[in-house]
Amino acid sequence: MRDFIIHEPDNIGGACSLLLEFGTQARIIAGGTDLLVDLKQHNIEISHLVSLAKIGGLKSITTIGDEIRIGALVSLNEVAESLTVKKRLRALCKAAASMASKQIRNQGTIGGNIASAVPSADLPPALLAAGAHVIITSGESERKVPMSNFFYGPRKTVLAVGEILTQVVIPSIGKKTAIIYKKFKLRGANALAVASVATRITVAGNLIKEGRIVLGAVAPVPMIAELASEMLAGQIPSHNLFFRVAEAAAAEAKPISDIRGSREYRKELIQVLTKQSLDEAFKRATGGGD
Amino acid sequence: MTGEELLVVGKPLRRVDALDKVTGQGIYTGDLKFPDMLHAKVKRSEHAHARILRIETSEAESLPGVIRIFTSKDVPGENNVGVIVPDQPVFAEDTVRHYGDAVAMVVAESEDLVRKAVDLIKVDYDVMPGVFDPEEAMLPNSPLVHPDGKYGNEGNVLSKMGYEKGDVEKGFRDADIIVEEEYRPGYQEHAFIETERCIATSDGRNVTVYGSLQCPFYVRDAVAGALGIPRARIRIIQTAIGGAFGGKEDVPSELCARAALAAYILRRPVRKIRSREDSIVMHTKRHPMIIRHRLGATREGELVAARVEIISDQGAYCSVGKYVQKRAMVHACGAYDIPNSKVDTSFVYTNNILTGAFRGFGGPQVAVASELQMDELARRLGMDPLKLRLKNIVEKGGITAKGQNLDNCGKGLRECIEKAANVSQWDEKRDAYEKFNEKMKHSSTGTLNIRKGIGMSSIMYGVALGGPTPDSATSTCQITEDGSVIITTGGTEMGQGAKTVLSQIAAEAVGVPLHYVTILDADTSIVQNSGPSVASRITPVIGEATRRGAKEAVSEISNLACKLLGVNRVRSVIAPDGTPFSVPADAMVKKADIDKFPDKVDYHELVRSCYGEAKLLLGVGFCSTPTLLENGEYRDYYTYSFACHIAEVEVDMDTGRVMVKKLTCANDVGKAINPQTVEGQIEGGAVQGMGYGLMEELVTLNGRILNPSLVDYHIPTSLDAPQITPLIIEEHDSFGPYGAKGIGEPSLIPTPAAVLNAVGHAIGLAVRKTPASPENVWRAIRDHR
Repeated sequence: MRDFIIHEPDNIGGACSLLLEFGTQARIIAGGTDLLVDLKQHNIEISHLVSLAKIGGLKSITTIGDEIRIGALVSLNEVAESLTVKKRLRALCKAAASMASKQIRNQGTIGGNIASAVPSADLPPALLAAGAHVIITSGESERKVPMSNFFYGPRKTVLAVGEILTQVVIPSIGKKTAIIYKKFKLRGANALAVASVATRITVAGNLIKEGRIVLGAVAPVPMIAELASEMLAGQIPSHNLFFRVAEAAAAEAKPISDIRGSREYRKELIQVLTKQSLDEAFKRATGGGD
Repeated sequence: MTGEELLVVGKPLRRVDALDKVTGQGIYTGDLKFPDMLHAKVKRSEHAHARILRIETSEAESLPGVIRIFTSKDVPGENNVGVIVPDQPVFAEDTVRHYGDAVAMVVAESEDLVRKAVDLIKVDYDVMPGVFDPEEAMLPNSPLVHPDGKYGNEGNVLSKMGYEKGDVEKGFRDADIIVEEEYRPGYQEHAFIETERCIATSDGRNVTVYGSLQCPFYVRDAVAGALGIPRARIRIIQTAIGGAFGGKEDVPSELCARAALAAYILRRPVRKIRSREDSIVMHTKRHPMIIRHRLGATREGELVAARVEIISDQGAYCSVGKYVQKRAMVHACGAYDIPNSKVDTSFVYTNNILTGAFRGFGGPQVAVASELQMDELARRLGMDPLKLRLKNIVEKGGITAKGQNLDNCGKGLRECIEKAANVSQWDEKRDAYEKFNEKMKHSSTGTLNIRKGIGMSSIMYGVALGGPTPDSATSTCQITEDGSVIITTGGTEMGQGAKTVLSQIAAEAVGVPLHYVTILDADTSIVQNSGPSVASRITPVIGEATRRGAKEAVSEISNLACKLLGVNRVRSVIAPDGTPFSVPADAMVKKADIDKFPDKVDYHELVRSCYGEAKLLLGVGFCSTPTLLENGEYRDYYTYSFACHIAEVEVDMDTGRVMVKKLTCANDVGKAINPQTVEGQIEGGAVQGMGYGLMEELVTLNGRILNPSLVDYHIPTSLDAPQITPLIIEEHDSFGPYGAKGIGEPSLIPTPAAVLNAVGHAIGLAVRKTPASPENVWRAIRDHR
């Protein structure tokens, strides 16, 4: 690993100016679980790390009404175990709990998991399904970006030099709505998603009012399966419908073949996971619990 | 037998190194620091097969802190570290034959510097076509890995080995049913926690190497050869080892030869620690095999003939391949009585990663074929696989498929099968799971599409190094003035519990509590060459040498006790406070009553008296296995240990994912010197075997390993490990100490096949390659539809 200087500013403004000052020679470090590996393997060569550790206000989970605000430095285990999150968006807790190992979940952060923009990341699909947005600050001004507009490629996001992701905001999920996250991995722990699906369903009477299906690890960015999602609106739920929606989701997925799975197997997984998540989400949305 | 009760052996005593390990006190190579220590790293080949035109090192050398860059030109002795065949260079000379070849080595003041300097070395290559498939490698116009055939190779075929017993053609003519299938067990990576590492020091004349070494004497041979200096000037010292599994058998030879070369020339300590990527790309793997297996039986299920052809990918160098080949050949037909059998094996050079020693040594691969064949045969005969096995297993007094008369072992297998079947409730579950699966097939609920299966695998395992030469070992025992005991052997503790087991054997033979015994770490200038720590031979062979050495060391003490007590034979009793006493051998006294028993002598007094009378309390134990027979023939292996593992699985038919729910593992160990470490071996072996059967997949493309990390090469985690029930079976062996045989490898060998057979039972068709990963199982199910 190349030598670097670590900066520990105690306010966001300071962090943003450091990032501006050092430009491509600097990176933000939160938990460091992705970054340190990249540094050690020489995938990234930089001279400055800007730590967020000493900045207040990034480590809490708060609620405003039914809206949840999660600070960027909240650890994956804190997300997994938070009663506040569990009550409103259990799928996010499950996604966090499915990641890596206990040690890494204690170290890794929600902000890092999003901002690293790894295609197989576990939290973004559930957040996209929930309609979450992130707060980005440049020190002087803040902007609000929907999760669905945040990513634009593997390891590429809308974050500009000098900007920091500070919060994740999850809106009120609403009644008669359920969100389910399903992940397929190759062993019980310490495994990345081969494919993942987050599904959201809202029911009204006997009908599905609307639905959203988000796919992970099968495209350069977590993607909303638009066609499959639209097929749910206003429909009477049935195995047949869910099966066709699952097929449509698989058709929309754009996976690559790599060492974790072939393209065709990933498409198959998307179909299976979509169907399973639809079954579960419908059951839960209609009060069946899980 | 109250008079012959064992004092220390057979008890589940805490491992002698447990506290050191759990408190972090154990000294591993990575903990050692020397003043002025340098660091070293190799420049690996950038091609699978290429001629080296030029190695440009000037830029790397100009970095401040880079001391020197070594290449093949700097090797003063023989440029070879091959343990059987001299085909493996310390540094590649004019040709690289796989991606793991070392072209050069940087020695510098820091680890960061060596990495930087390695990147600055530029090598010009003339890239040659490579060969990556062993069957293609056997074709006449295939690129040649070692073109001149100087290693006894014909073309790319390193070695052919085979045998025929009886009349196989006639056997198949007499068969009512013939099962013929092809199996493809794959690679396996050792994935030890601690990667390969060593530190070499030298004054320019003598060389000392500290390292994580399974076989220090192999390393001494390699260093002596590469430096061209006598073995007596080389000292190899083993440190604590963070796992080996065969992957530190001959592998450290190249690493240590390179470090020793640098230290010898530079006269400064040189440390070499492999990164995980270097480790996976450079060290040997389990041999992948293509096994074509033809099995003939009568309508009643009696085996009459077997024909097995094995082609294995040896990679670029022989390593211990020929020994793996022999073991694969002997065990190819499984643990069955088959009157007519023919086996042919070809181990073939390719430009892939070299293959070599891995716990089981060819055993797990051939068991995958022979045990899946048994289940296939059972299915076609409509027979229960358990009954088919019991009908055909080779037992004491019988002849193995290879032709060895089992005159000294063979009762353990039936006991293993029956016990495992009984404990796992084989009959009930086999039936229940079939009913469950039938019901699931017709169920259309939206729930998980699960099938359940239970499968078994039963094996025999030739203990220790095979014939024709007997396996032998030496060990010494000294009894010091205070009665404590020092044992030296060349056997190494690599996590398996060798120190504990050898301590128990020595303590038992001397007649003292466990804590009296200290086993020295292997140091080639102090201990004897007891042979390699491989082949599940430490307990039976080195253990027997240790027992004999300890008996000899204590003989003067026993003689004195006999004299004082006026008897011909004495035995030891350890009082409740831990004091050892000698009593007449036939004395009916229990440990608790020893205080009141008059005819006893304190062991410590005896030791003091012996020293006072100038008696020698030193024993040299030597033993060699009963491999040679009186008629001039030899046993393939002097004895066998047996095992039967039963696996229960659930398979998700939609994704192909297999969950192993339970493993019931019966292993015949002759005598469990320490039942707790035996259970530990069984559990560890079963999980590693399960990993091989289900999830471990080395992905290669034209000789390049695409997943050289533990993120992408999946070994099981604790969440993947099922409930394991170890069952210890003890068929007393007449050679091993207290009747013991080996357990290190037979703990793993049956598991992959048992898991695959359980998958076969669950989904109704066989998965004939490893791993039965979700995608592979999914494909098998889909292709069958």
